[in-house]
Amino acid sequence: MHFLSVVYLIWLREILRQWRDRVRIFASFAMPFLFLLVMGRGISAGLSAFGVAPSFDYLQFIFPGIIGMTVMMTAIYQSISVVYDREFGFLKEMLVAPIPRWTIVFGKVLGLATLGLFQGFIVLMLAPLAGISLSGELILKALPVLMLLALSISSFGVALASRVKTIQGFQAIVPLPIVLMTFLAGTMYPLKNLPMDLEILAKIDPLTYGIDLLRQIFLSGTMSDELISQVTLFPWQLDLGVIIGFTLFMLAFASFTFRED
Amino acid sequence: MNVIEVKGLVKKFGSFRAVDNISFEVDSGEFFGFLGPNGAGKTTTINILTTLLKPTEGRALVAGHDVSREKHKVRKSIGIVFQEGSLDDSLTAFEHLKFHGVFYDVPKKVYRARIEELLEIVGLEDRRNSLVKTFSGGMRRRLEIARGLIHRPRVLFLDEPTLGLDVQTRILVWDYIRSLGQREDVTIFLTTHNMEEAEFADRIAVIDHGNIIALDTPANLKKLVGKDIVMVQTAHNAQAKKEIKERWNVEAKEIDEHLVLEIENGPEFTPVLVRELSVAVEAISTRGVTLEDVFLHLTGRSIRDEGRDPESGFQRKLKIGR
Ligand SMILES: Nc1ncnc2c1ncn2[C@@H]1O[C@H](COP(=O)(O)OP(=O)(O)OP(=O)(O)O)[C@@H](O)[C@H]1O
Ligand SMILES: [Mg+2]
Repeated sequence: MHFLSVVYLIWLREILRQWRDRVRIFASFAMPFLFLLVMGRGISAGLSAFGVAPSFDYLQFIFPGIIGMTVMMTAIYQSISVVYDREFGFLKEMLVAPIPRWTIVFGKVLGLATLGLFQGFIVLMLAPLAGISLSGELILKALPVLMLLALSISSFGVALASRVKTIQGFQAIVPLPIVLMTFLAGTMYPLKNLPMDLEILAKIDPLTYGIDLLRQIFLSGTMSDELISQVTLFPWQLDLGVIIGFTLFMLAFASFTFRED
Repeated sequence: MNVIEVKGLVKKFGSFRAVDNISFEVDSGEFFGFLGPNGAGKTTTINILTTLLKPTEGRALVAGHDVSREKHKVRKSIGIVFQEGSLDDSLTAFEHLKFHGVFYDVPKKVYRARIEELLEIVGLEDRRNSLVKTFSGGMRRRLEIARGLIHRPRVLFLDEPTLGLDVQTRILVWDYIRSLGQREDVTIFLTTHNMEEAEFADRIAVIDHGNIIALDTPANLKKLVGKDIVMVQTAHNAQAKKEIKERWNVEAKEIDEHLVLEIENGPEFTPVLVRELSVAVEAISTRGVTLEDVFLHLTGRSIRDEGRDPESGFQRKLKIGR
């Protein structure tokens, strides 16, 4: 009971921190719009200028990618809070308290994942702008996937942040995993006809499976099955299995990086 | 019964020995002071005793538990007010205190009552719901002290706790901490360079360059020094120093512009000194021994000589972002 209240408070702290910062609230609403309305529409218009317009609606294709990317980016960026806690001393207050390390890790991960999921949810609500109609069923299917994605990436972020000791260091390193994961995961293009090395890397990227699954969920109502199989990679069971496995692994890894020495 | 036992404790950072083989014991309920200049190894010792740092060598028991092997049990028995800031700007004062109560598993009713009591003592009742980012340095410090007292630990570590507090708050806080020590049998481990604060301690360890160079009651420590302190400023200090040595066989120490002498009977000695020195005396005074003089006596240096101005000790790092 005691430990659960501790996890709850550490979770709550992440939410309060976000809630009380107006700039962050503004950014959290503005970013998804930018991704969808500027990047999504921009790329899809650009493609038609080349005369290579695909046989399907590109905005629909890219939408699941944008959701996955939004969740991932939020979760990783927010994990800078671990570095802040170290720099501003609140981490000491937690480390010296009679609470196990895992309560700190779980509280943090759950808090960061909640923020990521919240962002994902905002983008989800924008689906009609991409020509995808929202149904209760679609939301029910998409949310658990977004939650797993948020949890696994937050755990990754916490593990990363527990190793990086300075804010500057974290800010320098964080674009690497973001860019790598985003472009390898087929966020903006189907992962077909890739050179061998990229294909292997894409299959290692956990976000690939998340976006693949999201794509199947989002497009099932708007595209023909044949078209969907052209732009997706794996059966949904495999995608789901990989994401669950990755989440568990990352949670364990984050707890491990925070262990007592 | 000893509530802290330290034996042969060493902490190296690289090849530098920040704590260099110290041993001491603190009795249950004792008010124990750690007195030393900047960089002496006070905070490093506290970090080891509170499980935040691993000792390089040696052993330390707190409340009967080994600080490297039974961390959880040690943490359950201690409280700490850190020397450096440990607050979260995005939380309110009340939230900090409440979080602490929950972290230490204090029953809700109890921590609620203590929060009221402590907010009043540190004078933050009317700022309880303000975000900490709107607090001044002294207010932050007061909140940190209040937080350290929410749970009633067996050993309370205070790392220069009242640095930067105004005199009134300092007195209130000290009255409360001392009454706590008496009522609840809390052992207090204090580090400071503030001499008046150190005077309250039952025993004081004087630490310098990672070594304990003296450990006794304040009264006994003062007996190490002669009876009185005479401070004299002359037109030619070096010459005066030489004459004092030849004439009275007393070793004068040079601190800033002054010569400092340890003398049996200061008030009678000063007129004699003025009369018999060949160089002109510009200023002279005499007073009883303080712990500051003890430090000077033991090391030949003033405790305030080196490092920063003590009052600026916890000027925060510039806050960015967040
Ligand atoms: N993490 C560290 N890495 C390297 N050296 C360190 C580290 N922490 C402390 N030191 C060094 O150890 C010595 C003792 O530091 P410590 O913080 O214990 O001093 P202190 O007695 O608390 O001083 P102050 O009165 O300034 O707080 C100093 O010389 C300091 O530079
Ligand atoms: Mg210190």
